[in-house]
Amino acid sequence: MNQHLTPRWQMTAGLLLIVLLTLLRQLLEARMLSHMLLQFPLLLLAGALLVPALPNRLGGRLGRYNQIGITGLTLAAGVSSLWMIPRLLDLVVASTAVDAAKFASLILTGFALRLSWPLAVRTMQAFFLIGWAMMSATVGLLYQDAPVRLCNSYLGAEQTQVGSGLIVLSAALVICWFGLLLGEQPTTRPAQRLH
Amino acid sequence: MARTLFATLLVLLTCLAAAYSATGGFQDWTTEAARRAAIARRPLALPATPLQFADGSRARLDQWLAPPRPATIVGFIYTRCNSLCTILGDEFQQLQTEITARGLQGKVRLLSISFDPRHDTPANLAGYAERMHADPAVWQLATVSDPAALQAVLDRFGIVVISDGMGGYVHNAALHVVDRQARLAAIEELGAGRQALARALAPEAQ
Repeated sequence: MNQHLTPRWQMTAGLLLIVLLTLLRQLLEARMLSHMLLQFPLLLLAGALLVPALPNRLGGRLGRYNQIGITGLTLAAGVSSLWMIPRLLDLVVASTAVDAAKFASLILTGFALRLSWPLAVRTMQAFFLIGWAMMSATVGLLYQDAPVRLCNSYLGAEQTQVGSGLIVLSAALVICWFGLLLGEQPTTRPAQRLH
Repeated sequence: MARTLFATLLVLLTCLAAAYSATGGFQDWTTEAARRAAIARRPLALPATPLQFADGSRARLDQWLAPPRPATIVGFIYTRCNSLCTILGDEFQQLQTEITARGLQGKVRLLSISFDPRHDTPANLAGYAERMHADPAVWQLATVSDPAALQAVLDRFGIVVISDGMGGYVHNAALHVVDRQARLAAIEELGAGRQALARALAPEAQ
């Protein structure tokens, strides 16, 4: 992102995205699929775009509470798990206050993720990414196979779609991450030939 | 490092606390489970909803349920429905059979409330009652024509009605046991008619 957009553009895009998502709130939340697999990621993106708004000094001070990115990644894991709880999804649809909390927490999570991900060493990235993917895929399986409707606000068929979507997303993120690793310049010396 | 550790723990605990409070102590992951648990803990008084019955007569829900009336098992339906309410209809039919067979007419009644007043006029309800062989001494059907009153009673019971995208509705269907004090005292799932009847006949409901 940094290479293509100036900080000012990023912040403008982030703010515009938040305004747009607020305006489209009811439309996107009318369907479970667009709620969870479109609005959620876009809120994360909006938060990530706001990172350049953070003053350097404050960023430095914040960094002391977020060494190797562990606080931010924990926040991301926690917040994303919370909004997969069926009861909370119903509450979001029924209550503007809960939806505001969801907006704020997901934007904050996007912000924290972009700050923390580059700080995390590979093993930590793997730990959080694979842990998150396994949890989300499990939730996806539960959504897919639940014999009853889990959300009063959504149809059973949508629940199945979201379940499949979560499984595909989890797998795709892990595969992409490994793809990025493979695509990087080798930093270690080539393996020695065995004699 | 200590600061980071502290911040991470704080984040973790905050998220856990949020999950704990949202699920009633990691018990109720769905709204439906939470609704049933809340009613089981504390019976709920019911509103003065204006009802219009299949025979055209009118009554207020709270008064219609109040002493000395018997306990009542309430279900929410719309008569065009061909999925969940059909199951609920079958369940009510079986309950009616059982109530009649055991001579429980004075102790427990059945009430179907339609949430589709535009289509479910008293005449349509009467047609549905006839198709279901509803015995008026046991099983009454009513509609709520005032939209605000309808929404209020659905909210009180915790019924969420959504469009199925094909002109019909989808809703959380269950058997709602109202005790003789006109309080919603228990919610049993579809298929648990026997338990609902037992709850309605239990000493605390009578």
